[in-house]
Amino acid sequence: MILLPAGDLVSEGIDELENQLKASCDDAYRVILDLTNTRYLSARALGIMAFYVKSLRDKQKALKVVAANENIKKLFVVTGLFKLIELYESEDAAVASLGPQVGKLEKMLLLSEENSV
Amino acid sequence: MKKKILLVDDEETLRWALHEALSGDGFDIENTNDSVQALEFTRKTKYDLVISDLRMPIMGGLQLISEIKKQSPDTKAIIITAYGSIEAVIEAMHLGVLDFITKPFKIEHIKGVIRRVLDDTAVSNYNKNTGRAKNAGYERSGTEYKDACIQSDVFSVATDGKETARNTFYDVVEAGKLKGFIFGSTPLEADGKNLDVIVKTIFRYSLKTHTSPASLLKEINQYLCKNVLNRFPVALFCAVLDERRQTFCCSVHGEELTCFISLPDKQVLMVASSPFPLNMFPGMGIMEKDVPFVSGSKLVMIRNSSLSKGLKKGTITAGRFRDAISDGSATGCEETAKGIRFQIAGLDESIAEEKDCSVLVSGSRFDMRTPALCEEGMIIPVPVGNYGEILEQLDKKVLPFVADANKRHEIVTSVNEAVLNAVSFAYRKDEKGGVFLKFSVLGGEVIVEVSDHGCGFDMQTYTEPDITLYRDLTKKSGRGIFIMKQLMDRVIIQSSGETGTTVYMAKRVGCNEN
Repeated sequence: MILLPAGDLVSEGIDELENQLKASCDDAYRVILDLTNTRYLSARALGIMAFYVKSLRDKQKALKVVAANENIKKLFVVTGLFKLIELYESEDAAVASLGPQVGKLEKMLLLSEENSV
Repeated sequence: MKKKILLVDDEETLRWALHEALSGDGFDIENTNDSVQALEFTRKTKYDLVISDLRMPIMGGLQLISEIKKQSPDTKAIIITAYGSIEAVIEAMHLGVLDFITKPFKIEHIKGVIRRVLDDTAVSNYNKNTGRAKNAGYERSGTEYKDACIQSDVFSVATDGKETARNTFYDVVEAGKLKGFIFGSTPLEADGKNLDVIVKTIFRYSLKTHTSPASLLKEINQYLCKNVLNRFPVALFCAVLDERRQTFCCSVHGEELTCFISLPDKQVLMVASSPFPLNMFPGMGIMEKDVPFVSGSKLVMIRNSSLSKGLKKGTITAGRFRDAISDGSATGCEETAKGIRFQIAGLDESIAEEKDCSVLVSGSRFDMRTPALCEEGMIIPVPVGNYGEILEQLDKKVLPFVADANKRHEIVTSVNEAVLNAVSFAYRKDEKGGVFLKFSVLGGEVIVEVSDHGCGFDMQTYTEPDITLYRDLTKKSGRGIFIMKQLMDRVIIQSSGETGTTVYMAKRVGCNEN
């Protein structure tokens, strides 16, 4: 499933994002969040992403973020979310990462979770 | 032996009136209307005190005193001024002028000032590094605390001798029936520019027109924020005692200061204090509190971060603190402070060193300058409509102040969190109100104030999120503040049920972008 927010995830778009991610926990196998049109993220949006990347991981699924601008990347760094969520420059790169390396990736994520506890 | 005083003023009536009044008090007075002639006099005669007008033809009062100090550094000086700006007075204090008198004045007032300056060195007695006055007389080797100020029977200060990373200073001023007291603590880096002299000068100058401690501290805070380039925490205590009305009002800012009133019947009253230091944000709210004060009471202040943190965190209960103070026969604050430490065993160990959750301090370079100041306001109505439009407006507001797109994004993101916090916490659902924003540029920093007039954000329930990871995702409180603190150089949040919450945040954007 690819989610492409139409604008900033600050106030109005957040509930919709949460609903979509909630649905994806059951429906989708992998979720790609494309931030091409998103300039600003709020703390709440980051919190929701962090929550659902864990929920998806518990179900052996993954959430990947693509096309985040430099400022959003910095937010991922300062909040430590880059340790949980993988960032890719494009959808192609994110999709490519899903194929044969999935097992290895999941293992890495699980290891990083263990280290973070 | 009669004290020799030289009086320099081009206003003849005033000069002769003073001459007569002071001669009658046993002083040896010489007077002149000419500052050049005054300099000649001082070359021939050594005066104990020079009283000079600020503004005079040919040579002004500041230049005159500067010249006199070169040839006779021990000669004390007082300035008389009718139109003096605070800057001129600060310059005068830097030259070593001990006090200044504003025209018009009563003869009795100037007599009091002269007596104090000649008999008492309290005015110039501020301690450096060790937290003790030079001639306080209470210095005892081997003790942990020193009584730093004994000039007044009302005010008393104990500072932790171990805390050598800060300068402390104080001043006591009597203005008619008012007694004003200020105690301050600054980092060592502030030492080079005589910050204590500046603070004391503004205090003395402002006490003539402001009798409320909060307004005095506000004047000092604004002056520091607008004239000192770098931000570092300045802890200040200010009190004004009106003996005629038996009222005592004080204002305490800075978490290292703990202040209490020791009443004659052994009761002890803690004075409410704000953890936020000054020299952070010019618009910061300054609190003050009226405290009961009866004859024989003594105000005691202890500068000790551990003690303050312990009280704030509840490690030391107020009751335990009171017991420690009122127990035993401690009379001076030195003994009191030692008693507290003795009775509350393991005080230091019980309080882990930690950064204040709502104060971040940056920068170490210290410089004086007068920066440009420009301001822009904005009101966001609550309930909030289209937030996308608000983001556009925020972008436009910040654009003229900040050329760097990344810094602008960080500021807007932080402001956005503050606005969302205000909207979430201040107003109930469907309640109408507003979030008020003020953008300003000061000394190379962009300063943003975001305030609501709602119920206020409850700092008691604030929990600091994990610094390295959004690990505990169930706790929503604090995530926005965490982001603000990461993206901005300095963040302070003030909150009260009466005034709501104001978030002050600052980010250095470089002088070229002002």
